[in-house]
Amino acid sequence: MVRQALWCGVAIVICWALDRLLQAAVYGQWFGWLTDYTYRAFILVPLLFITLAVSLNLINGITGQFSLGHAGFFAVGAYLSAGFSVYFASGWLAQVPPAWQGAAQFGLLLMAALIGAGAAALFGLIVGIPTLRLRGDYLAIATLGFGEIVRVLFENLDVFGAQRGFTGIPTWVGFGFFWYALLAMGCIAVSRNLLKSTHGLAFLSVREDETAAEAMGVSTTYYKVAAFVIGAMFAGMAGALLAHREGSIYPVDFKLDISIIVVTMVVLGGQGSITGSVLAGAGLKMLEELLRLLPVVTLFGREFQPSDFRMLAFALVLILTMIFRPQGLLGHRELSWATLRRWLSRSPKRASVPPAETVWTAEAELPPPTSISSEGEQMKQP
Amino acid sequence: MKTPLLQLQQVTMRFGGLIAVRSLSLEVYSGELVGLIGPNGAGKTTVFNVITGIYRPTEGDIRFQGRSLVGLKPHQITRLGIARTFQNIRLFRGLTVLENVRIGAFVRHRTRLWQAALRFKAVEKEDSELEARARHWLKVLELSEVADVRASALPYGLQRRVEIARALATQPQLILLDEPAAGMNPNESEELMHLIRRLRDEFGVTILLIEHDMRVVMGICERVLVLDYGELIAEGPPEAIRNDPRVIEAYLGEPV
Repeated sequence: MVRQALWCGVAIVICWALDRLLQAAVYGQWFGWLTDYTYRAFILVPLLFITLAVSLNLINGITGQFSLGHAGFFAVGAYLSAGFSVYFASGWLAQVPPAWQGAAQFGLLLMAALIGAGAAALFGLIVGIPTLRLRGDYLAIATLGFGEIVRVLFENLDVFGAQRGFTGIPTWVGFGFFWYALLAMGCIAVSRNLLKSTHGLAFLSVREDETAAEAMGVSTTYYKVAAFVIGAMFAGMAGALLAHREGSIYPVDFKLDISIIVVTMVVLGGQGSITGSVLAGAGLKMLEELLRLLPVVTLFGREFQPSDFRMLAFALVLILTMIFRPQGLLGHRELSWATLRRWLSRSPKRASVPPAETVWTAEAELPPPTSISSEGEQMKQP
Repeated sequence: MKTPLLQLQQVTMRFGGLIAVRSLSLEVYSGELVGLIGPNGAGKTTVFNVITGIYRPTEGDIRFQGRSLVGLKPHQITRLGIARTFQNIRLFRGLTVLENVRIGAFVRHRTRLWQAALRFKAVEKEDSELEARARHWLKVLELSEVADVRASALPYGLQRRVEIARALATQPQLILLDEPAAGMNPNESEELMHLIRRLRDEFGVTILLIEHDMRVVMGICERVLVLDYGELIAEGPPEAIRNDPRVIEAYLGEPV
């Protein structure tokens, strides 16, 4: 427990310090390029998508349950936490004496985030249980349906602003870096901890072979539902932060596009690789923003913004990944200092040699397979 | 007479109109090494699937240490102490040999998932225990050298050994081996015979095995059960089975 608290403390201090530094840099205009817009587009949003990608990686990559419903969990977290803040917490905050406002805001935001996480986790449980009977494409369709149902629901619920969007949410997140970074770190830490432990192997065994996993005493039901619940929880928390930073959320923010983009990130990064999801999550989101910076093009007499084609670009990325590197950028591996060092030390001399683990061949270490010849002998014997 | 470790009572398994196993009764006693043989399609693997909970028997009861297994999920049955291997090798292909066996050892875990998520000391301690247990079985099966190799990269014979190691890591009282010698050359299956016998003698595991290689079955099994069209047609020591006219007929057809 002591160690966990220590790590939490370290993470909080680091995030807080970076938050202050960034605030000073953005508002003090230290660098010409670091404006409020670039900060949001190239730091904040990528952080949010890192959380989404890493949490989906737990479901899609590590446990192998292809889910297209991540935007649904994201939406549930955003809307329900916002509902709590607007309809309850704001009123409570008004009764707090001015001196305690800061602390109360902090506490209420934490509560809202936990409510968002809890609600999304509950939905993860609800989605997880019926989808136990579904595999592959069918699971993808069912989760896609779930995501759309959630969005349409919020689009039609007047208490959540329906199509006009849910506005007037208290912006307690403020500048945002602190919370966004803390959530991303928490999500990465939990994923890494799980993957490092033998429990993580249980998740992987479900992906590899469900029948064999059951035969080895792994309750596949438990681990599948757990993956959905944990993944949904982090997506819900991400939604809660988004709502409390932007102050308003709209059903279009949670369209199927989001689910597909996050799936693209997981596939591109390598299913099961946490660092892969982090890199692809941040990278793709930045790529999307870079598209916005391109000049308007005129095609067939009409003007197009290159970012209008972003879904096309994602599709292209997905297709190219499937063709040239189906295991994703990092495959099942993780990017660590050790692998980096190995790549760096190896690249100048023998860049063409595949990584050590794949060069192992049966022939090199074991007596040559004799089964064919001996079978032949066997045939002759009688 | 002592109570059997595993007892099938009038077990019938029907798939629509097909009766794969027909009111089968059999017993396996603790410490035995029993062979289950029969022509192709006799229902041998179905018997294994019924015992391990992959199928729920249409009729009848299965008792393990006096406890009924009917209706339990496969992972619950594994936890009770029955492990198995598969006819068409089902390793976790993307994982290393050690990881495969660690998953087998994981069946006896005590820590909770949320503790693992927060990396509690208890989880780290348990992980190293489980790894030590997995390495122990790798050593017993002479697989230590390939511990960090991906399972899918191993040659066939070794993959079969990894499957046995993985099953043993669940610390079973009874292990069901589904054609362990399939696809092995005579040298390899000879080696396997010694290994299987050693597992029983040294580690006290009761073994029920399906096998087509008669040299293996007749060489190591003390008792052989013969299945044909889902029915038990003969039972007894290998020598008696070898000369049983019903068995010969099942395999070769009626005498002309």
